[in-house]
This record gives sequence, C-alpha cells and structure tokens, in this order.
Amino acid sequence: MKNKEIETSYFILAPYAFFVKGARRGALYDVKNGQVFAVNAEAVPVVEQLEKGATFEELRKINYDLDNKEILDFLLLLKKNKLITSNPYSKKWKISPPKTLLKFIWVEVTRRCNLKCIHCYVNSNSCSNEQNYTTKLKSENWVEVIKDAHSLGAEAIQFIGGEPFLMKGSELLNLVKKTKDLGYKFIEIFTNCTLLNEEILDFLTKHNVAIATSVYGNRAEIHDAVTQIQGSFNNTIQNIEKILKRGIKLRVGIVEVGLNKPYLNETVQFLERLGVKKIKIDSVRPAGKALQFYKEKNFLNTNFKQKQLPYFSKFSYEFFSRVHYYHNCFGDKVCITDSGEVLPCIMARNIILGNVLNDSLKDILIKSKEIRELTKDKIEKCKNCEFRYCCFDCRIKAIWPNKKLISAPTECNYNPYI
Amino acid sequence: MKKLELKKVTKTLPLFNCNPDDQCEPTIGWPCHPDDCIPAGSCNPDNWSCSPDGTDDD
Repeated sequence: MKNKEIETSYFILAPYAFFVKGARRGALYDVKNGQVFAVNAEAVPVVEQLEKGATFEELRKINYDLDNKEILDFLLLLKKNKLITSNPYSKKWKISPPKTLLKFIWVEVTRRCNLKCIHCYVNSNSCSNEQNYTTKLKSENWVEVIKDAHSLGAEAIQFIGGEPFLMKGSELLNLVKKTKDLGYKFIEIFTNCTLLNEEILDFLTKHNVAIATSVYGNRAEIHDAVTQIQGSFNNTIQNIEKILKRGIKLRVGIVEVGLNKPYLNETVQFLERLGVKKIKIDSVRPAGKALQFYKEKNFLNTNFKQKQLPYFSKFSYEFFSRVHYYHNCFGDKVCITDSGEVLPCIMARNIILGNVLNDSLKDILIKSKEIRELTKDKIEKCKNCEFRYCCFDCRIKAIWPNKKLISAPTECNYNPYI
Repeated sequence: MKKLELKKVTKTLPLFNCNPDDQCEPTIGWPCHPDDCIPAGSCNPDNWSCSPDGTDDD
C-alpha cells in the first residue's frame, strides 16, 4: 500500500484483533495467530480510534504533535502485521464463554507412594507406604465421578497419586478401561514408572493410554537423592525405554528441586538421547513437602527469578476467550482426591471446593463460582495490566504464604503503572 | 525513537522446550499447568529490550 493510498483510506482493527488497555499502555491481541503486540502510551489513543474505525485525517487530529510520517509508519506496521483492515463490514470475532463446565480432571486415586520424593505436593505424612492406609472413594465411586465429569464436558483425564499403580490389584487398569469406554479423548497416567510390567505395558499400548513421569537427573545419584529410594533411577529409566520401544505416548518432567539444578541441561540431553520427545523443566509449587523449599530464602531467590522472562508464549483464541470469564486454571479443571475432595488445582491442597461423597460434581462446580470466575480482571495488578489475557497465572504461588486470593502474582516483574 | 510503537512480545521459549502448539496449550496437566510457558513480562516497555539477547526476532 502506498503512502497516498493510506492517506485516503479508512482503517479499522481486523476482526480478530482486540485492543486491551492497561494502566498506562495497551496490547493488541491477534487471536487468530495467537500473537500479542505491546502498544506504547502515545499509541494508545490511536489504537482506540482504530477500534471504532478511522481515516488517516481523523487519526491526525488525535495528536497534532505527531507528524504525518509517524502515523503513516504506524499504520504500515499495523498493516504489515495484519492487525488492521480497510473493510468496514468485517464481522468482529466473538469472545464467548466456554460451553462446558469442565475440560480436564486430575484423578488422585491414592496418596500412597513407593518413593519418598523430597518435593512431593501431597502432605508428607501421606507419602509413606502406610499399611493401614485407606481410601474413601471406592472403584464404583470413581466410575460415577469420572462419568459425571465427562457429562460436564471433561474430555481429558489424568490418573495420578501418590503412585497410581499402587491402587489395589488391577483396579487402576479397570478404571482406565471404563474411562476409555465413556469416551474420554485423552487419558494419561502420571506415574513414577517404577512399577510397570509387561501386562501393564500391553494394556497401555492396546488402549492408547499416555504416560507422564518425572526424572530428576541424568544419573542415579541425583535422581535417587530426590526420590530417596535407591534403585529408583534404574527402574524408571528401564521402563521409559520400554515405553518408548512400544510407541506409548510419553511426557517427562524434570522438576527442579535445588540439588539437581546444575544438571538440568544434562538431564534434558540424556532424555533426548533416550528418545523422549516431550521434555519439560518444571518448578515446585508451595504444597506438601515442597513448602520447605519456599521457606528457604536461597531457593526463592534462584527459582522465583528464573522465570522473569519478558515475553509470552503464543496463545489460542479459546484461551483468550476463556480467561475473560474464568481463571486460567480454576475455570475448567478440577482435581478429585481419594477422599472425595474436589480441589481447583492439584496443587491447591487448602482450597477445597466440596466433596463428591456429599454433593454432585455439578453442584460443587456451580457453588464454587467465586474461585472459578477469578479472572485477572479481579486480581491485584493484573487487572490493570494490558497482558492479562495472554499471561498465565498460578494462584497457588501467588497466595503463598497467607496472602489474599486476589493478591498480585509473586513472580511477575512487569509494572503496568510506570 | 518512534513516538508510536508496536512491539511483538509473543515468542517461543526454547529454555523450557515449549512448543506453543502443543505443550503450552494449558489443557492437560504436568501435573499442573505449564505456567512457565506463558511467563509474565519483566522488560521495561519504554526501552523494548525485551528478548533475552536484547534484540527483536522480527
């Protein structure tokens, strides 16, 4: 487009482009391509005018300090990034609430575990392999809960523990089979991979069940120091090799727990050499045994600073729409524990929304509107930040220790006010 | 320096081995969600030296 044409044209934001104003600046969201663009304070009134539609002449009147070239260049930049159009009749994309109450559930089938990981998010006393351990939810309860969640929209499920394969007998596999029959599209078991055998691997292969696991180091002395069980590294790695050989879907998380920090890159490389495709470095949350890390100043200093990255990942139109109505996690996910408690996140051990032994899952979700609808428009600082619809908020970290549910995120360095 | 500025601030994060079309979609847990795929910004928007090496990737 030539300069002369621009001067005589009409412009409006593209139907998939949304402007969000912050305390001082703004952001333009391209929800079609999942991109976000920062807009400086001087450009805010110009973009606001473009939201309504404007000619070059009308834009010039906004600020006479701006020369023609400045406005022309800005329009060209918007045009280059496909953020504006000259079609006044283009139909704006809608920001609609999700159609279902749920998308994903964590099913915490047992708190028992054969490992003793130093950062376990479950209360430390429950992590031991207690002989007298009992679970309140029986297999028939689990089937009902999983069925209810599916009727509320959940299509993805993760079985987790403790160690889920410590469920009695073949209960877990029976439950997974029933889940599959219900029509769940994605089924994953989060396991430490120490208890797998040929029968289990056959089952996972046959029913297309995915596996997620954690590896803490590239050597036994690192991994076993975290799990506190000698031999766990060899066991896990041997089973990872079997999983890969069978082509079972696998994700591996490397949870950073301080002592393995120097070996993170080596661990990623080690896993890549094994053939693992999906690897992610994760951090601990202030829950269960991991609280000890949050109480240690040194750990806070290294880990909280680690993620002050000044940019955002691509986001989806669905994510952008959803976070206008719901919290990015609490809105469509819940965890159900083996005692029937419903938590808005598996790490939110102290936020109990209800119990499926007393109320239906649907009633529990309806009653927990305040938590589920905790959008960033209600959270301190976020509500005045222009990036509030592409940023990811972890409330569990934000509210620790003893902060309000709406406290500003602890890890965010961005200041929308200056 | 331009008075009217537009700066793309969406990038992939190789540090976390994130694939925006896959792992960063906060649909499935890790067990909890991959929040480090979508971190909050810490750059100073007035100087726009946002990327880790201080350069824009455009």
